[in-house]
Amino acid sequence: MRKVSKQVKMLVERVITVGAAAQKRGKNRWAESRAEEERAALLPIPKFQNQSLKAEYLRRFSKYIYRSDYIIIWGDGHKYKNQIIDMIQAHKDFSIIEILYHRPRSVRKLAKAVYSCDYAPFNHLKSKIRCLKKPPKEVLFIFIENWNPQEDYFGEGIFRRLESGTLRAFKEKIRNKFNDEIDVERAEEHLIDVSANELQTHYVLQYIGFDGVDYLKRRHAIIDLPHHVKHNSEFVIKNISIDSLYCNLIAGDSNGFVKEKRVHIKLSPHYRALIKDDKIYRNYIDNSIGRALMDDYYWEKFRNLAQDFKYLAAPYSRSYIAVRQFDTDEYAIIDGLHRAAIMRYQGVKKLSVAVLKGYKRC
Amino acid sequence: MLNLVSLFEAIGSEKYCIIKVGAQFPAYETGDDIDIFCYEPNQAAGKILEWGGYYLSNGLDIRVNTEADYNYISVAFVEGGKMHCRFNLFGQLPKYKKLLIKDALFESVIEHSRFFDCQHNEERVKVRIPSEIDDLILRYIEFIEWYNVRPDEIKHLDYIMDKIDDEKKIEFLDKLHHYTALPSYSSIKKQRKCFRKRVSTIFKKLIKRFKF
Repeated sequence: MRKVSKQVKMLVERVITVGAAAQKRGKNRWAESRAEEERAALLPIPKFQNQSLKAEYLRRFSKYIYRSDYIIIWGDGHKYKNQIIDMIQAHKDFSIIEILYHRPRSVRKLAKAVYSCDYAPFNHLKSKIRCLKKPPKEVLFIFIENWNPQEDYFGEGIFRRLESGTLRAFKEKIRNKFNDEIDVERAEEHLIDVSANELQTHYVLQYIGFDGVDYLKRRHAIIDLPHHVKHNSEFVIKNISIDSLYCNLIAGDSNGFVKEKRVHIKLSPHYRALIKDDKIYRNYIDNSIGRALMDDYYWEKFRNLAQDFKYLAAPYSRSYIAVRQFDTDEYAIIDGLHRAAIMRYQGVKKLSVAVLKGYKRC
Repeated sequence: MLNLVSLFEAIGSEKYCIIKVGAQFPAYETGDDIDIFCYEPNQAAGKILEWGGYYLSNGLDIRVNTEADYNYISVAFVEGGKMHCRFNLFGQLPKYKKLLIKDALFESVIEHSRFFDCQHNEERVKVRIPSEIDDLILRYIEFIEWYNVRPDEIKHLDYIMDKIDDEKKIEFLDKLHHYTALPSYSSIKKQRKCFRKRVSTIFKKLIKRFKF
């Protein structure tokens, strides 16, 4: 009964915006914590003298150190998406985990998932949903690792909530830069939105069809594999010829359609960009990013990596290129095409790879 | 031949204990198993991979197999399809059928482990091996579990008879009786029932799959 009365009270508080009525009730929110506040505090990163010790610490505890957050670029903000992605990449506390285009079947369902943990008044949410219904009905989710969330309480009274100060400041920076100005004041356009807490990220990931935050924080127990590679219990580390490597070039759209084509590594846009022209790589990435390719790839990052790349050098001594054997002495790359292309460019003939047994795309 | 001295230097920071160390250790014969109890098999396996990377160019492959349910990882060095040497990393006691063993024996073995000086080509390293009593207990458990299918397991009993004296016998029996018990008839019956249940659920699942 008490629970129901609390829910009714919460509903009434949210329907009536902050004003005279809210002032009458008082500005304090209940002392009881909300679900998203019950999570254990994030672990700090101590100062390490030894880099390998730091790498070991991060490997063991990374999922307790950073917060998984998302930044949504709504339809109106798509024209600025490259600049926004550049700003995220340049931010010292953020690293992009996954970029994903999404075309919602129902804007209302999307809004429900996105604002499920939002304590803004309903009127505010209604105006947001109205903006979202405008074309193009496509959103871009950018999932990030937030290494310095600076969590604090923001908002007043009943709407007081735990949020990441870093992300909130970043959102304001984007809005100040890209929102139009009306009579010297910033227009309240909804170009982007950010997650307030990790539980919100969890709900959004579940809405998209993943397992929640666990999907982003998944790590292989023994070797370093990205979260999207399905972790199987058996693998073999072996030395193979670099010319036995093939890769799957992919193209796809936001409806989830993905087309794969297997080619030899020397025909990959990655290798061709290193020996000839970076336009091939740029076009490939621009056409596929957020659709078939969801990792954070861009030419400048790839070029910088190629300059002084040493495969399996500390602290990346367990970052093997992951492959799957599809024929005798022929392997398809699952993860590590960029590294393989660089090594072929460097003239390496043989390399150690992790052959995942019974691998299936997840 | 793998240089095990450098391996145990590399995993020195881990809490581990090598079980059933042979007389020639760190030398070994092709096909040998090296059983290691450790608190974090994943970390130990990672370090073995880092160390073993050197041998990949010599024609060896490293085969890793994980059984997450049993907290067990095997890291096998394979040469031309034949096993050269295998590291069995246990994060908990292996499952034994003929004896009921308290899980705490695993921690007890690691915590009471002692250092053993070993040398290979003028390289020296201190490795952790079980205390004398723990070593005898582990060998005894191994003997009980396998003597009816592997007659050569009698070597463990011979070893125990050779090493044990009256003083150690009391300590050995005390610890053995504290950590182990013989399974009662009812528990065997339960296991059989569980087995029957498991078989029947598999059949039910198969029938369902064929139906739809």
